[in-house]
Amino acid sequence: MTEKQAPPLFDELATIFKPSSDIVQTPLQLKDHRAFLFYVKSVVDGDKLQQTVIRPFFEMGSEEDFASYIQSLPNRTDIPDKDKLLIKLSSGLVLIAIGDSTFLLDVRIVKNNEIQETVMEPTIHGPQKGLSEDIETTINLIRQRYHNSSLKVEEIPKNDISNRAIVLLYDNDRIDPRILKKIKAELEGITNALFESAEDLQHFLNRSKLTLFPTTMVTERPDRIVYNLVAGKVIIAIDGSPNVIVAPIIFFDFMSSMEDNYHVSVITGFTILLRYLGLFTCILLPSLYIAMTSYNPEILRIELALTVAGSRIGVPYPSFIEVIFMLFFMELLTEASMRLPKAVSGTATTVGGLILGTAATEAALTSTIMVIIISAVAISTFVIPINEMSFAVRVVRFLLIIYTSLFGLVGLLLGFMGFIMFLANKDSLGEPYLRIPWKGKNAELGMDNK
Amino acid sequence: MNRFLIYLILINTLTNMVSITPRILIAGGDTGTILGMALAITTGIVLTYFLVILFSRFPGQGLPEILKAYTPKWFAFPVLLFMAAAWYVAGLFTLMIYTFIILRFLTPEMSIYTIVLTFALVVTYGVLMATRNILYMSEVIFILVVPFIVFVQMKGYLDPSLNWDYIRIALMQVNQLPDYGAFTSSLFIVIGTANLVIFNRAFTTLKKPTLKGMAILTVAFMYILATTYLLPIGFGGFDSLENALYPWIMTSDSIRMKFGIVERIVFIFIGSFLALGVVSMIIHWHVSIHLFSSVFQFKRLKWKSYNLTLPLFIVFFWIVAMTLTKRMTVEGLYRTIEMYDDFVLPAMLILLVGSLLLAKKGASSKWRENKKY
Repeated sequence: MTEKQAPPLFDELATIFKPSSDIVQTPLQLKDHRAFLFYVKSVVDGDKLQQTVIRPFFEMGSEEDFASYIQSLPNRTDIPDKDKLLIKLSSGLVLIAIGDSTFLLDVRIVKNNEIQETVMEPTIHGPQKGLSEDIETTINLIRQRYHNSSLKVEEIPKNDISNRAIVLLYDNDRIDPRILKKIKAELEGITNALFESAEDLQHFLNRSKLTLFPTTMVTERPDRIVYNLVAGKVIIAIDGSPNVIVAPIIFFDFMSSMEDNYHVSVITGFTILLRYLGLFTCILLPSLYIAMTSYNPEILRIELALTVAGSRIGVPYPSFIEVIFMLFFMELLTEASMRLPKAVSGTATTVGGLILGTAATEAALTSTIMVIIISAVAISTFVIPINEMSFAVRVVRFLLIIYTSLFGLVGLLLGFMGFIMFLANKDSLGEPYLRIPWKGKNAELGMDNK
Repeated sequence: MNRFLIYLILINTLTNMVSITPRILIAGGDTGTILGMALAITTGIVLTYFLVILFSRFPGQGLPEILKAYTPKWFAFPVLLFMAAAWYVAGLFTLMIYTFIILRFLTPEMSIYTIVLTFALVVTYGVLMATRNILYMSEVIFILVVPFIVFVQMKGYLDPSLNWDYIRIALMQVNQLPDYGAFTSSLFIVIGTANLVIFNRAFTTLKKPTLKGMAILTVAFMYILATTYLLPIGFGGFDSLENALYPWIMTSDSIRMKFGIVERIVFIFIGSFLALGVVSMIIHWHVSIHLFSSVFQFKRLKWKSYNLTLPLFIVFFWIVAMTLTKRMTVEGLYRTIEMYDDFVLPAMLILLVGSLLLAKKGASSKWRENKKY
């Protein structure tokens, strides 16, 4: 009986993977026919391997039968070059050698494929489950909501250190080919980086170093993804992240919640109105207070002006210090309750609430009206549905406060206009960021077709 | 008609409501303002129509590109330079008017330098924006502001203290021959289309004027001009407004919101027009700076990869603006604007239409030459 040796490729691979202890290189032998398996134990589904490879081996009559059986399995893939092969093996593929031929089988086991609850953008109506950390499951979730052959799933080869899959999803019939080309170029332009998650990748997509407003959106809702696919946008998914990136995006996308589609029209209109009023309130109100108390109290009706002035009696510094002081503590409180473990955050909010509430007023460090304004501002910041936008708005608020403290009411007005200009001058992958999206885009005069 | 073109025209129209224009109109009140305005609307509509048609022959091109391609150099450069100066001065007037208004009504203790500096930061950013983005920005601001303006005007028309008899007296002057000053200053209001000299770069497929678009413009012009002239008269009286510096601000201060948080409507009025004024200023100076840079382009003036021509012009713009605003008086400004409207504006319009016709002729002859080969 001639002893068959494992193919030289197997030994070579084994030396590369050493000293990892979860490498398995095992021969299968029945009478005189043999096969060799090579895989990484911790990422391979043992049961499935047993069912589809090992048991058939012992039931087959000859090596040829077994080889043609393996050949016809649906999870067989072609063998790539050696570098790719190493990546594939470490992601859970099994290398099988029968006689002179070798096969590669996908029997990976993915432990993180459970579907997540929606945490960032919860809704009352509509789907409650988000995506998964496993990219296969994510693609499955999207495909199951979008049965259309024009939905393309395209893998982008990327040479970052972790070798994770990055996948583009788009509707081929609806997407603007120029945008697709731009995104691909943009993705290929990213060099030498390690992507932790979708949020991380998003930062690399923003070319400039200093950005305030996000130019791509990170979402976890499959319904939002489908909505955006229909609108002709590109979804970028990365393995290991429960969120995907949507691009290009405009300002108004950040102000829309998926819930808007699930309500009666009047209710939707009301909530949208509420949201925009909230946006204006949380940007303008603190600066307006400064302008009205320190610069132009005569604008308010006389009773109100007197009430404001009366509540400021005893406050020892000008209004802008008061506003910055209170906002600073409010931001600290928001930040602390977000980062702390749940057990402690309750204490933080209670203590903070005490300080910001009555105590600060009684100590005459701030006026009562200021406390009301600060809480109104804090609440209205949370009305903005997408978290990233409300973070950006928090920064804008401070800039506007500075401008108003320097230049008064005119400064407030001009500063706000500057904010609008800044948004209008921005673009997300060539798509203007702040353009009012009227219905009937054909009337858009071909201004963008340059 | 393109909606962005309509915004461009209407912003120019609305901005002038609060400025010196009503004073000029009222000053000519008993010498034929009504017919002057009517004539200006007709001229404005006809000019708008022809300018849009002329510019639509050169899609995506501003006046500098058109003139450089189809007219001789000795003609193109002086014309561009003159227009650049004219547009700069138009923007400068807006800056001065609003600086004076702010100084008088909002922050009397603030120094003029501080007020101009408030504008400087924001307007500089706006002027240096891309042409296309200025149009997007003006749409957003237009939509945010116009409801307030309409509200103020409705409030004015419905106010019981509005005396319609004064308005009737003013309308009785219709039999006077048109007043030249009233005509030109109304013409300035309705001629926002002229901004296409640079903004045509953003309109790659500028459509021919449609009946609907022209009808909207005609109605808007008539309403705005009538309101500009007649509403202050209705509040202030036909004879007594002659010495008022800012008739419209006085008018809006006559209106009171009984139950509003802001009781005096004048602040809403100033605020909304200030926003439009800033947009109008950005539009004018954007046109001006691009016309200037089409004449003088300093290729060597570079920092890293940025060409510093535009920032240099901006700095220059602000230095001139600061010194002039400091020296100017309200009365002086009034006289200057009157002169500008009477002489510079007609000259500029004639030059604009003339040069476009010339370029059109040049373009068609060039086309014929090319066809021969």
